Amino acid sequence: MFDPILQLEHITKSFDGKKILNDFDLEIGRNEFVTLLGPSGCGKSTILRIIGGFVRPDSGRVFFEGQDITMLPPEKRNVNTVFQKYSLCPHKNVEENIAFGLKLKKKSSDYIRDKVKYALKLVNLDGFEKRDTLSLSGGQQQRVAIARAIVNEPEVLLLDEPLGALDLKLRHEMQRELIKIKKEVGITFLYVTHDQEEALMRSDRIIVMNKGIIQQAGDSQSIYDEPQNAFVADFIGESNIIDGIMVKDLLVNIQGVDFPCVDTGFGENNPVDVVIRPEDLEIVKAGEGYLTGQVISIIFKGAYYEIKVKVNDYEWMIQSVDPAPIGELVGLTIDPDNIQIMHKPLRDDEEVVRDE
Amino acid sequence: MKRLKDFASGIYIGLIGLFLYAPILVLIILSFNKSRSRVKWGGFTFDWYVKLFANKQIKEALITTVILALASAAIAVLIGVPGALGIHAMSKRRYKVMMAFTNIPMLNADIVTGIALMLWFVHFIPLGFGSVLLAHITFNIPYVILSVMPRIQQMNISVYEATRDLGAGPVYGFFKVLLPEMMPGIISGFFMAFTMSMDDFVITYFTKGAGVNTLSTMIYGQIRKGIKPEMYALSTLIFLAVSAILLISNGISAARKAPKQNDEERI
Repeated sequence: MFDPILQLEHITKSFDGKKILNDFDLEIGRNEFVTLLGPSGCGKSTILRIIGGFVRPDSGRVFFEGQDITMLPPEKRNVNTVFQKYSLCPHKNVEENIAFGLKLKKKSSDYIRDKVKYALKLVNLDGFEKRDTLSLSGGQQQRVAIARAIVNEPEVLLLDEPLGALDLKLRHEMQRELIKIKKEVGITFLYVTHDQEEALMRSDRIIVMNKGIIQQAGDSQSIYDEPQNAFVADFIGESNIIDGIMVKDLLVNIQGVDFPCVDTGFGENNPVDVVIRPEDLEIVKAGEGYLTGQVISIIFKGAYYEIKVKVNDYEWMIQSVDPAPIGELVGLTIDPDNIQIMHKPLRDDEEVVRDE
Repeated sequence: MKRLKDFASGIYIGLIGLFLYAPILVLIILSFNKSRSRVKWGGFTFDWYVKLFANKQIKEALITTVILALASAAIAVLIGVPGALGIHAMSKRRYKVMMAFTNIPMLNADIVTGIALMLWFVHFIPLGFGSVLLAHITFNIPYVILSVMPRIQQMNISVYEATRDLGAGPVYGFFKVLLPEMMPGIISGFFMAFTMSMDDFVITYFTKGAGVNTLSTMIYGQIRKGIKPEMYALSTLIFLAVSAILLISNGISAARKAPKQNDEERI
């Protein structure tokens, strides 16, 4: 049963006259691991800051376990935040940083010592009590920041791109550890990131946002496999997004060729967007697939080759373990299962983000 | 080529030194000159300094100047720092408007400020120490705001927010996190305000009324009767005091910067 711990209702917020959130609703269940995913400026951090109490919404209300906390200051809320970076107090050592919240709550020194020890063990920093915070690496600092939040036993932990400042390898390591920590402490995690890989890796539920509007919510699998609009398809993973015409149920016309597919309910002869993931396209001999085109580039990416094949005016991106020589005519084929049909965007927030 | 460059820059420095500091050096030398002449050296003496300290009028002016500078700088800090925080929190457009209003009094001619304040004060309060103090606070506030604002903009707000997040109230957060972060700006703002107040003649002259004298207005009054060598001695002391303040405040900000740079390397 869905047991909501946090509810945001009709939240609206503008900064400098620019509307960041407009009538935004969100429900988060107890013990869920929810990720807010979107490009920078999409309003995801603002939501976190509204829940944390650092930003007051222009209108709308925030409920925590059914209680209205919209006007409550941050220190009165039973949530804690792990900030992007550099949020440790530089004049205190690791132990003093972690103990800070407990000291304010006037806990006994025995209790504090045990809690700090437990938290440091949880984030793999046993024995770091007396270390100077400034002597720690970026990854270690973020571990301390997580420990510092967790010792207060919050009901909800808010994480604002906590791994954003770390290098790739460390980020992967910390992602795995976060899942472990989540399992161990068993509280609600609300995680904000613009990194789709981070989001796919560990969330119970991903909420994809653009321009302050939720584009799609669901588990990793459904978001990757069944994007509901061009924005989501483009933002999550690599994809070929091309215009198509839904001839009838189970048949879509792309570049003048009819493809069998598995989607229904898009009407007859309706323009649609078609999403095909590069790893789902298969290169075959010229003339054998649905489409025929010329290989125009090939890049070795380690585990696979990224091949571009030009068919008429469109360049298809294909990921394949077998190389294909540039200039050669090849055929392209695809499983009906792997063709994803979407409605044309109704609003600009549903469109692909273009780099200008 | 390098020698030519060194030579040229040496000459440049030399010229700057000559034009800026040679006159002050002459003043300092004359303050120890036994002869009253401004061109002849009559031997070394401390007489003018002794006479200076025996002069009751000068002593009073000195005390007034220091109290005025300290009080106006301190009050300007108390008003300017919260003001800067408030302006910083404004929207971009209002921020720009407020900062423009902050800059105008600094660029405005002293004579305009002085006369305007005088006209304003005579309606409400008797001209005297109180009116001079108010005037000095008025022109000091912009200096405090301008030196605190860059610190506020660079401030890492995450530490403050984390403190609040962990259960500390706004008062605790302000005094334990925000204030220490702003301190270098506050100190330099205080010293700037202090020296501006010590330095001012025009505005003080218009707002002081009868009976109150700061060093600058007093020296002006004395000079009308002819320049006495005591004035050289007094000017020398003022120059040394201002230089000392400058060195101390630079030393403080350098000492605060040094460990900060280390931090960034370690991160």
